[in-house]
This record gives sequence, structure tokens and C-alpha cells, in this order.
Amino acid sequence: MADKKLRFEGLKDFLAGIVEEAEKVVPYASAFAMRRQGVRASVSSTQSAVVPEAPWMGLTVSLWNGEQFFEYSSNHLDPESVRGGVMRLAAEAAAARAGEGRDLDPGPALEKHFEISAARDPLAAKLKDKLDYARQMQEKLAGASPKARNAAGICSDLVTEEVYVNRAKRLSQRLPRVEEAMQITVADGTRTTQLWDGQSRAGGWENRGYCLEKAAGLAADAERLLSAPRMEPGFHDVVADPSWSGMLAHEAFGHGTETDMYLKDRAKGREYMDKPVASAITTLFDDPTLPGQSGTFFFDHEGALAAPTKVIDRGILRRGMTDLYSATFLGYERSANGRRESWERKAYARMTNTFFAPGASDPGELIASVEDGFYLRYPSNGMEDPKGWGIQCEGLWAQRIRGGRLTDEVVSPVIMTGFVPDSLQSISLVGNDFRIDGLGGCGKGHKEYVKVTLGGPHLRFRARLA
Amino acid sequence: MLIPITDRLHAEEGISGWQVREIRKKSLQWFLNKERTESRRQVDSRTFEVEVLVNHVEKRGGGKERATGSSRFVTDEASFGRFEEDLRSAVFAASLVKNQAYSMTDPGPWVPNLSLADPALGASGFAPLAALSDRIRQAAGREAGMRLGAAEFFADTVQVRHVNSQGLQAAQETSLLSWEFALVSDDPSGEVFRTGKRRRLSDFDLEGDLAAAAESLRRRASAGPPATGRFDVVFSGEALDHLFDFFAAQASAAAKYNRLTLSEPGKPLLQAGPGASAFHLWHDATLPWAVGSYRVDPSGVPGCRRMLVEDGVLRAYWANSRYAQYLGIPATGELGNLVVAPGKHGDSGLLEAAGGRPLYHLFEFSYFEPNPVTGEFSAEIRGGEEIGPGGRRPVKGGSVSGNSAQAIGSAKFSASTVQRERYQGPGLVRCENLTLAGD
Repeated sequence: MADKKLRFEGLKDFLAGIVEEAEKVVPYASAFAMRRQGVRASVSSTQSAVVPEAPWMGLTVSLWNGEQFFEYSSNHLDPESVRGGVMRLAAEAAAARAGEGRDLDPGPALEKHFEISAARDPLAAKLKDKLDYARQMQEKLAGASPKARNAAGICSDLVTEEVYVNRAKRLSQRLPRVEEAMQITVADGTRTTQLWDGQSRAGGWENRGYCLEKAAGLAADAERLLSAPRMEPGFHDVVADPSWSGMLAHEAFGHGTETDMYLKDRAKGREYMDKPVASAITTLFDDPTLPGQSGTFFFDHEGALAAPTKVIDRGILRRGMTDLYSATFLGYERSANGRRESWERKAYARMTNTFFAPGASDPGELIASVEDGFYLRYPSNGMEDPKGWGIQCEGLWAQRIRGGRLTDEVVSPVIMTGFVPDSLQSISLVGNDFRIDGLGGCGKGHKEYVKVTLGGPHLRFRARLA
Repeated sequence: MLIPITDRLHAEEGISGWQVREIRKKSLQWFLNKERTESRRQVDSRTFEVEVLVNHVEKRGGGKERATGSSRFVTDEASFGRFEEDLRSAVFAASLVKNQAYSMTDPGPWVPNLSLADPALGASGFAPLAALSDRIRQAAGREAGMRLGAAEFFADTVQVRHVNSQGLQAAQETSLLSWEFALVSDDPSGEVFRTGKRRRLSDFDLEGDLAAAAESLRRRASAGPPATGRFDVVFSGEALDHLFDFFAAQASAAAKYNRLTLSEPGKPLLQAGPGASAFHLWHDATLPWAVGSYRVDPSGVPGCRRMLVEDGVLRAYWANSRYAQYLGIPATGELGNLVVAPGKHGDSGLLEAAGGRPLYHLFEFSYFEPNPVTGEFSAEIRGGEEIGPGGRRPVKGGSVSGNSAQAIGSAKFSASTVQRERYQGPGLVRCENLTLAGD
């Protein structure tokens, strides 16, 4: 079986040559390449699996003709094939150019390799150890509930390596992350329900251990859902745990401040820049530099170096999250939010680690402050509506608070809907705690899945629940 | 490259079975940012998905029992130099796992002769997408007070060659046109976002979809939230894409094997209320040109049609090769299109309020997907209307909640039918007594 000439380790130089050659035909060119590899080990009550994901790599060359991008993407990494494909497309791009167009800024010159450190590198850890750890999680979870019909422990790791090249920059980064999750399905003869928990962290297997501590609590919570009735609809005072807070941050103002949506007239946020959109104790960040989080990186897929973005500062909407195209046409300063699902897809403005900043109140004070309301945990999914500023957040746990105390009454599932500014303006207390579980990801509309994280402190606010 | 891979797998002594799927994909993508073309992309890829099985003999109780471990990896031209390493790693991974025994799919007597690849999408480069871009600009330009926010068109063609250790050899070619567009209005909160998929270019009624979106946007401008309480609800439009997913999950052999459902063949999945339409559900991977149709599924099972639910009673599970072997049932292949038998009700009758209470007709949501384990659903309403004794008014905002088994147990189905991406069945489904949270 023949080896190919082009290897990931040598791509930086090769792509620099391609960019230089392409810029003889079009005014701006850049290139992005990625390689991903990892392992997913899972053990459930009925079966187990270990799937080592072999390296998956490919590249995209972007050609800007002053008006639009022409992009060539492939995993046929034969040098002549790539060069031929790119130069044919460059000729098409040049021919399609109608006027002078706009210049794209390549940014300051920089050649650098970045790396997230991992004490126990995922690629060096043994497959059997990963399977054994998944089995430990499964056994602990299954043993925690006599009503468990299926309990699953899943651990996975992924090492993503990326290269970005334009005429000024030659960047590369290595981003390892590890995840552990557990899921329990319980039944009582007539009703079946399911609950899950876990965490994802940047780095290596030194991060494992979260699920083993949480298994008994998860099983007990799942059993409680078997007898949980549905909620009667209405407006309520709520306390959201950090996971729910994170979903609110992500759906309410994360998507609403992705500036490609501004440019398309698809986000109301553009009209509210430097105006109040939340209560004065509310601050929201998107931060790809947050240490240890699995949405963290050093540069985005369009070459912008990572830095925190303070989206809302004490209730005032200050800044959006940009990709290269929208920042250029809107005249905004770039933030490192130009991200692709993979080399096969286009770059859009996307979130990274998005969260509310911690406040001043002990989380216990938030519960104690509610006379009659609900404590929200276990979020399941949400959906954005940047133009209408509607919001949908769903979850599996709403626990009644009466007289400042949590009761045994749990209702499930729960959906929160409303108008984003109403929800954010109603934030009356912000906890001094902070947590990001790191699980999950984010789509743009209905596709373009990227890894993001969300979280923050406990929040107290008012919401329409059903 | 396929032949060297299969030759190598034939020679591998440590495995009891294998399959390889060679996937060649070409994707052309076109993006409009308002009226401007933001980018056009061409993507070519060729990958090989390799799966290996390793048999073990397990001592259990007083006897011995056969067990199977499996693993898989994806390779491509760039990774081919490390094929031996990837194969060793997968075989080792499979040797760590001891699941109930199964084997690769035996070759079937036939595969359905379905046309799934549209030449109009495969052979003309960017021309079809450029034409769609022009058409959508023109169609949006005809809508007063509205404009195009964004549009995306993807034309994908995929060729798959499937070979396994049992002698199966199959091939299929598919095409898929995917689109999305956002129409925005002068109303500060006015947007309608639409997505869709079809196998054939000619099945995409762009002008019709855009006109419907424009009508929806006009309605939303004067819409308010629904009332709060329990009401009859008629679902149509995008709600139908997932309204029956809970029943498909209950009829899944994988869910049964993994104890995620209490369903049993011959037992009801719902309690039918008085006057409810008979509920019959099929898995059908053979509908001509439907998005959920296929000649062979990823485990090598030929596409077929199978009744899953008859009169609300579970009749059969849909199953890929592995779970069919586990449950000892015929394999149907992965879930294809969901087909629901229509009812006898006219559209106008289903859309009449009764008993002096308003009825809600809901057709657009933020996200509508019932929980596959519990059947519970909740969704924010983006488009609908309240039909009351005093007339009709558009609604948006608030939510609708219910349980799939209860909702469909009370449901009346229209005689009229629609074909959506993976759904064919009644165009209107009227459910009793769902919870609305609004004013």
C-alpha cells in the first residue's frame, strides 16, 4: 500500500507555498488544515465498545477575489492534485471579480506553535485503561439504583491539530481534550426515564474522576423523575444552576451576538450595541482563552488570536463575536470566533466558552430569597432566535422552592420560553460560584456542529415555565 | 484502494468478520449573505470505513458461550501509510470487548432498484446552485416589505461501495440538495427561517417555499402569544417531521435490546381515545426519491418497507443487521422514511373550534423533538393561529407541551397527505387537550 507524499507535519510549508502562488492570481488567500484523532470507550448494561478514531485530516484553501470567497476543500492530499485544484479555482475567482472590491487584513506577522498541555496525553493512554474506566463508571451507576434498566459509562478523548497560514501568519495548535459521561435509564414498570451528567476538559486523562463521585446522586435524581408530574404553566421566580445559566447565556445572547447574523439582518443585537439589555449585575463573556475548558484554543480558523470578549458589561451590550467576513463588512474589530465544523465546512461566527461572570451572592442566598418558585437543573437543549429575541430552553428538573427552602416536589420536563431582554432584565441575584461542565456542542441553525462550552454561576430571575 | 484493503482484511487471521465502505463524496456549496454571494465551496473527499469483528469464547456458568467484539476506523489516502497500525489498533480494541455474538450481514437475494441520484445535481458544477441563487433573489424581491437575509444551497453526491467478509458487495449513489434561507422584514423582529432537503432538484419548489415563508412572516407581524391552559391543537408543517419520532424509538430493536423501552410486540403503544383515527406506522426505505430511502443501509441490509405499528399496537421492530440478530427478528435496515396512514377527516373539519373553546393550529416551532424515551414534548411556538368562535388570530411565542402517546392516542388525522423529508402521512393531526403556556 503506497504512502502519500503530503503529511500533516509538513503542511505548514506546503500551504504557505500554495498561498503565495494563489496570491499571484487573487488579492488574498489563506489555508486551514486539521487532523483529529481519539478514542471513545463505552460500557453499558447491555454492551461495550472501544472505537479508536484513526486520524482524520483535510484542508481548505480560501481564495478572496475582493468580493467573495472561493474555497477548495479536500482530503486528497496529493500535492499536485491540491495545487491544481486550487489554481483552477483561483482562476475562476479572478474571472468572477467585477470591481476593486475590499482588502482583507492578514494581521500582524506571526509564526508560532501552540499547545494545550496534558499530563497524561490522550494518545499515550492505553485503550484498556479507558475501557476499564468506562466500566468503573457503569458499575458504580448501575449499582446505585435497583430501578436501573440500563446504565452507561462513556469516556472519550480527542486530539485536534490545526494549521493556519496566510501571507503574514504560520500558526499551528494542538488541542487535546477528554470527556466522561454517564447516562442512566430507570423504569418502574409503567414509566421509563433517563438522566445524564458528565464533564469535558481540555488536557489529558489527569482530569478524570468527575462521574465516579456523581453516580449515586444521578441515580437518585433519575428515580425521582419517575414520579415527577408535568408543570402547570405560569410565570415563576427561578434559580438556575450553572448549567442552566450557561444555556441561557448561550441561547439568549450567545447566538444573538454572532456578527455574521448582524450582517444578514438576522440579529436584533446590532440595534442594541451600547444599550442596556440585561440587569446591571449581569456580565457575559465569550472566552476562548479560559484555562482547562474544552472550548479553548489559541487561534480561530481564520487566524485571529484568541482573547476574551466581554459581550455584556454590567447589563450593557458591548461587543459581538466576529468572523472575518462580517468583521470586514461591518468594520468591527476581529474577535477569535471564525470557526469551522471541520475542513469540509465554511467558517461562521461561532461561540467558544460562553458564560455569565460570577456575582456577589452565595448560591444558598439565591434559594433562600425565593418565596415560591423553582430550582432548575439538568438542562437538555435550547434554541436561539436572534432576530425575534425569543428563547427556548428545555430541561429535565424543576424543584419547587417554598419559603426559601427546596422541597421534595420535582416536576419534569420543563420548558422556559420568553423574550430575551425580559429574562435578562429580571436577573436579580448572581451567585459567587462558577462552573462549566463542558459537555455538548452547538449548531448554527440546524447544522455546523462545533465544540463549545457554557456555564457560569447560579442565577435568580423570573421566567415563563411550562 | 478498496481492493488492497479487502485483500489485507481477507488475510488477517485475528478477525472473524469485516466490512469496508468506500465513500466518495462531492459537495458543492453556495452561500448568500443578503443579496451578495459570500462564498462558494467545492469539497471532495474519499474515505474508507473499516469495521472488524473478533470472536471470543467465554466461559459462562458451566458452559462456553461465543462473544463478539467489534471496532472500526476510518482511513483515507492521507492516512493510508499507517493502515497496518490502524488495523492492529482496531483488532486490539475489538479483542477487549465481549458483546453478544453477531456476524456481518449475509448477501441478500436482491436490493431495491431505487433511483436516488439526480443527474441534474451531479454533473453541472456550480450551475444549478448559481441558478437557485438567482431565483431566490428574484423571488424575495417580489415580496413587498421583505428581503433575503441569507441563503445556503448544498448539492451533495455520494457514491458508496460496500464489501464484507460474508461476500456482500453492494453499491449505491445518492444525491441530496439541502437548502436554508432566512427571509427578513422591516418589522424589527420579523424573520422566517426555512430549511429543507430533497434528493432531486426538481422536487424543490423554491418559489412556493419562499412565498409560504413570506405569508408566515406577514402573519407573525400581528401575532401574539396563545392563551394559557389546555386546548385542542392541530399540528401541521414542520411539526410533522418529528411528531411520530417517539413511536419510531419504541419500535427500535436497538432501543429494545438496550432496555430503553418497555415496548413489547403485540402490546399497545398508546390508548386510543373515542373518535381517534387508527394509528398505523411503517418504516419505508423504498419510497421513490425520498430522503430516507436507500438501497442498502450502513450494515449492508437492503432497503425495505415494514409495518411497525398497527392500530396503535407494536407489530415489529426496525433493526439493522446486528440488532436483528440479537433479537432473532428479520432485519429491516436502519430507519428510513416514516409513513403514517392518513385518516378520514377533511381539513376544514379538523380546523373547526368546538364547544366554545379556541383551537390552536400550530405549524412553526423553535425546536420540536419529543423525548424518545418518555415521549414528552415541549416547544416554543413560532407560528400558528388561534381559531375561536370569534374568528382567527395569528399566534407566536409561548409553548405547547404534551406527551406523544397521549397526544396521538387522542388524535384525528386528515385524509389529505403530505410528503416531507422523511415523513409521508396526514397533513393535519388534531390532538386533544395539550398544554399551552402563553399570556
